[in-house]
Amino acid sequence: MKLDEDVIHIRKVLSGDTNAFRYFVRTYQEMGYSIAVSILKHESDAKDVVQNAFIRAYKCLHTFKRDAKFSTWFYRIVVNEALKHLRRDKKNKEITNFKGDTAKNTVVFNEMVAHFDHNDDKAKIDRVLRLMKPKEALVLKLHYLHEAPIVEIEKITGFTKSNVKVLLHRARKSFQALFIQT
Amino acid sequence: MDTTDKNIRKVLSHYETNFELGMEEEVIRGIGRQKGYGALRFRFKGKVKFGILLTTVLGIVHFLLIYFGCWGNPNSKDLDLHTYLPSIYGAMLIVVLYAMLFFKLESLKKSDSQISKAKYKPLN
Repeated sequence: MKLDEDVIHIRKVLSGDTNAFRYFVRTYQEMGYSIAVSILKHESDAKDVVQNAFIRAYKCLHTFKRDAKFSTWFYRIVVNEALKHLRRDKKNKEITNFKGDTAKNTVVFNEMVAHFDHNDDKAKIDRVLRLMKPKEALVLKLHYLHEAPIVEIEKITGFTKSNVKVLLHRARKSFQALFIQT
Repeated sequence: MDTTDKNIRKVLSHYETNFELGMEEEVIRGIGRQKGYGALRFRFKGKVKFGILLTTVLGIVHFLLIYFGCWGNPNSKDLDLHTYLPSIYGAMLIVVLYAMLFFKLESLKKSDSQISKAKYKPLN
């Protein structure tokens, strides 16, 4: 089980085995990157942020409380680093606001998904997520890709429960609208 | 779970999450750099602390000598502290400044990734 493996590797790293930290990089780099890129919308920035997050996690591993999952703790570091980076560097962020009737969008979206061609539309999903607002894209990814419940999203992002719910609601609406428009 | 929710889940299940990042080596290298930097800081912190402590002790001794009238006793022929103390202070100050400057230069060098990569030795 992943949780047990996490604990074993945490013990190894804390006892001085730096190479044991490779396990965490291998296991969590992709989701960490996915989270960072949803906030920053920029590949190389996201990669830098995830690397910094790993180094920070290594340095602060002794402060990690075992009652939480390592993934939750690490993704929180990624989110904090990414938001810090976003505040520092507000360059060229292409974010689109969706237009039109949201009720109508839902009907059209559901029809489109029925004829969804998986192979052709992989790039489309990526485009839609890039056009979404950072926090909405983040919450959407955490909920649907990471399968995180609201409580875990609260812990990862530091947002309040009601804030997460509002963001998730808006994220669904904008995802549908942007999926139709792009 | 409503239809829209199911459909979003269905669409996102095809989202490409295999990014082929391969950042394992870079992260371990970064950790190695951090360790080196930490060790260097610890070593120079010790030197600076020792310098400051020694200067403080000498300062206190100097003050006590003046306060209790032991300073410049005409009968004392052992040591002319007027001559030696300022140079001892100066030397201590130079030690502290040297250590601080060296630490600063070393940390600047460490932050240069190219030099750090060349000096990098694998851990364990």
